[in-house]
Amino acid sequence: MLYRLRVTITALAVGGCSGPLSTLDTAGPAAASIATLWWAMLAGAAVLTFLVMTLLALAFVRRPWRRAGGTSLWIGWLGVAMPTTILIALLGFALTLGERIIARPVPGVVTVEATGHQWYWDFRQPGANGAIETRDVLHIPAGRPVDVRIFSADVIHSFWVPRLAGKMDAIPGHLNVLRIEADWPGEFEGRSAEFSGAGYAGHRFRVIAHDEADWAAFQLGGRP
Amino acid sequence: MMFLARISAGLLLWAFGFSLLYALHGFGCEGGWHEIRIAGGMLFRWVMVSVWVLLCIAGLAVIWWIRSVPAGFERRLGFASALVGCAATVVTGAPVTITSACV
Repeated sequence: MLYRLRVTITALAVGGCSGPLSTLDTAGPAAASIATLWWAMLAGAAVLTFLVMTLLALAFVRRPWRRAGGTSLWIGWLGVAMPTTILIALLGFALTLGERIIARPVPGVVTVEATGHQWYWDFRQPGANGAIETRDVLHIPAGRPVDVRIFSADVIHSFWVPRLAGKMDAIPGHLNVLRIEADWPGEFEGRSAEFSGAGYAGHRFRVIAHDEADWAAFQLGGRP
Repeated sequence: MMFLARISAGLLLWAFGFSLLYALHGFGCEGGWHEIRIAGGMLFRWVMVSVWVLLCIAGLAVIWWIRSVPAGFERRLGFASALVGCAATVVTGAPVTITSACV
């Protein structure tokens, strides 16, 4: 029984560490930054949880030494100062990472358009012989930043490729821009991260990152 | 009634200030304030930072106001609320000074 419990807990704990939709098995700089923040937050939460559990355990042990320190130690330092310090550090870390993944102008950036529909995505990008349009498959070059201009044709959706970057809402009448980048050629799964009605479960798409030769062929219309 | 006002003034000010900054962020980006240059900076930044500084000053004023309350439970509670509210206003509003605007 205990063995099964240990196996189940371990499987649940590590189940999200890899796989096509894992935010921890990163394949791009923005996703790596977000994963770093997640690990930092996990560490901060672990410290606070450990402290609270320790204090809870101490509350059941009635010994005179527990009175040492008084309210200034327990409430002032451990109850207020330490959580405040950890939370402010995490806030600063999150703001710094957030600034780093903003889609600022850089040389070599590729721009594509993504339009969310119930329940598919249309992608449009410039090609050597005019605009290239694809459905539910986004082609990008590996190793280059890609700005995805996100629109919606009906309701609010959310563009998300967990291994490449964070989420960005697709809002009717409003343009949002998300920068994604794949460190190496490959295929990455994406999905809408905003419930949008009955067909939401199948609202998925793929991102195919090409190496230089394949990207050139795609641009010429060789792989629509 | 005054009891409730005194013990909640600091936190109410923070809630009002946070909502105000949030609303101004939306209005400012939609209105193109970040494209208007004034005194070497963006109008958007000037407005946000000015409002945040005013909110911090208001937070200090609340602390000062609570100090005039006679010593006792009401004063202790009001003072704690005012301190927390002022600190929360400083921390949650501080990003308007450095973070990117309207991107």
